[in-house]
Amino acid sequence: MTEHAARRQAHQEDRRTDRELVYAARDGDMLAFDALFYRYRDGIFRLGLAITKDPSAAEEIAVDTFTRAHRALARLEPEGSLRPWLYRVAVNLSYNRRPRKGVIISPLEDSANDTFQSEERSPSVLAEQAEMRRIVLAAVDTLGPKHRIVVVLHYMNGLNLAEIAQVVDCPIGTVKSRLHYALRRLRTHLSAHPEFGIEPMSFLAPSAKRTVAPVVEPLPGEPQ
Amino acid sequence: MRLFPVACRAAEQKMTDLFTGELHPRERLELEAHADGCARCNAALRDLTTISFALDRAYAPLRARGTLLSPARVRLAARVEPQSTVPWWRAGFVGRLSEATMALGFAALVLGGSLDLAVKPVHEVVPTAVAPSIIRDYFRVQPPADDAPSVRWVRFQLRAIGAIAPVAGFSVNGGPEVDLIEDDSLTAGPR
Repeated sequence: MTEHAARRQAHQEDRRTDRELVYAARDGDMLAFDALFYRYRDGIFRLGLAITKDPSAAEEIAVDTFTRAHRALARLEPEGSLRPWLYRVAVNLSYNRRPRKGVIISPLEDSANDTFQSEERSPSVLAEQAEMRRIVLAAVDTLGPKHRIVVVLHYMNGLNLAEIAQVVDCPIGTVKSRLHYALRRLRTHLSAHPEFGIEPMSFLAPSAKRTVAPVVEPLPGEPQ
Repeated sequence: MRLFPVACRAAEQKMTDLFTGELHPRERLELEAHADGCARCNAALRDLTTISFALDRAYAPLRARGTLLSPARVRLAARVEPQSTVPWWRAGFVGRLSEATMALGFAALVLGGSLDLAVKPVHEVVPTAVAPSIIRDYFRVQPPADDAPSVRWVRFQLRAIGAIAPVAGFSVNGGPEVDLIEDDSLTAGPR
């Protein structure tokens, strides 16, 4: 193991909390800041990659996010984890960065092929799954920014509703509502693809019609 | 206008908690019991489960990705950030005073040639040698003013009237012609 790898592993196994690391970095301990960097580097990179679909842009977003964190060390007061603050900065940077026109980027499909080649599946199955993945991600792209970021943070970064609420700075109920709306929109969008087996939504299904119970009992002999 | 029972609306709201893993087991049983008896909620639960599973599978490759970014890149980016671009005249009284002091010092250095402002006593001031001057050296190597044609004409007239002695003749040693008898008061030019 090289010296650099050993140092990185030491940073990753740092048991100190984010608050302790922030205070140590504020006092000039750059190794503490490096530990924070290694702790959240991949998550921020994936978040930027999910939004921008550009690996180089995602790396720049990660660097910019930690640069801002370094500049804001004096006023950072993390209660528990620094992750919501970092993710909020990364989300803002990602949405401020427009995708370059004329550039075809498919980092997700490339990595998907690598993943499924290890499972030794047939080419037809791989192609079918890649096509379904492309359809799902295209459907997510049709969502608005507010709903899309909730989907990305939950299904890609694995954040729960409370953490998402901290990232997007809104109540948990709002996050739940946005996620519910996003799933309904995805259901409508994906119902056009029969390979998913999703039925078209019918708001007035027979079972959903309001059934009003008779108020007055019918008289004997009266037709019901 | 959407018309469906209140129980269906409550079940639909619980579905989001089911997918986020934040639904209490008892409420999950209630939701499943309602879905068993309601075709609409049953279809919605089945479809949203499919979508949730598809989203999880779609982002699975992305979750396996990482980056090899180094913290040195962050340090470099944080260091090369430009500092405050406040102009000097807006940098406060201290900034203005320092800038004015530096400007005055530079002007004194250029105009005075020296910043030796120490005042010495009079008895310690000794005359120093005259500084070399190119102009003074130029006039020093010039021939004396009596070689001018006007002086030669005056000297010729004086010889003619006998005021001064005639010229002795050519130099014997081959040197330049020298007037042996010459009145310094007449030949001395202005220096």
